[in-house]
Amino acid sequence: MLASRGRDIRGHVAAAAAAVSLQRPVDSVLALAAGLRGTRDLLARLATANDAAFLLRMKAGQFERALSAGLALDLLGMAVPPGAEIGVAPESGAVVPGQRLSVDLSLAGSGLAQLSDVEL
Amino acid sequence: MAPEADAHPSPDGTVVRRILVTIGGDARLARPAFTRTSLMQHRYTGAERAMAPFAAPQVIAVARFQVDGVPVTLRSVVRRREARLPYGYIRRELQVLPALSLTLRPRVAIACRAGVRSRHPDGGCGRAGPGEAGGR
Repeated sequence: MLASRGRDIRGHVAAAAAAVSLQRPVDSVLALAAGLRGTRDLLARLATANDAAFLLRMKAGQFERALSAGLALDLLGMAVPPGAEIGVAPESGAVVPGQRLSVDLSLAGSGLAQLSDVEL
Repeated sequence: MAPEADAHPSPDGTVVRRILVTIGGDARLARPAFTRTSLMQHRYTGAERAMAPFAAPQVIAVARFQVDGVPVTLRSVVRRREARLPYGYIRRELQVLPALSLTLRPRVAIACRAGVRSRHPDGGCGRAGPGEAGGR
């Protein structure tokens, strides 16, 4: 089971590599998503302490980073003083435990149209 | 953590949201990844559990979304703006520092064994964050 599922994941990686191009990296996204789904399905069948599970967790992280790159996503979290006006760019310093601050989150990228259920 | 505004798309499609965060009282403080107790110590001690050559970030932004029905999580270090005039701003990693700080000037002094002259360093302590205070 492990070997056949592993071959499936490798097939998705090969499909993503064949589909990607500098002009349209987004073309690899569907194959990458299928690879991530297959990796998680296999992970769910293995014990947490299994060596293969360790490698699969790394592979799942690689799929997520590849998806982010393929979709050209850029997540930015910027600390601003509480109550700062939205749209301005105030300075802020380091914080200490117990301090309150606001964080402006933004998710940008050319592949945003491919996303659903976005939650920041 | 409490949302100040719901996530919404801006005119260029970017999803933006502002949240209000309170840094926990037990938050891990920013430390160098490697430390040593004195200049005479020849070996550094790794502060990170995984012996990473960098300190793990304290404040992280997380985005969750689905691609073709597959949940994906994207993480990014929260940054702050620091003025670098006249060129604009630079973005630095947001660090969680101790509320109390102690400064000594000079930081390093070299004393000659013969003819030792006493010199008192200039010291000060400060308290950052809500209700700032200082002393000497």
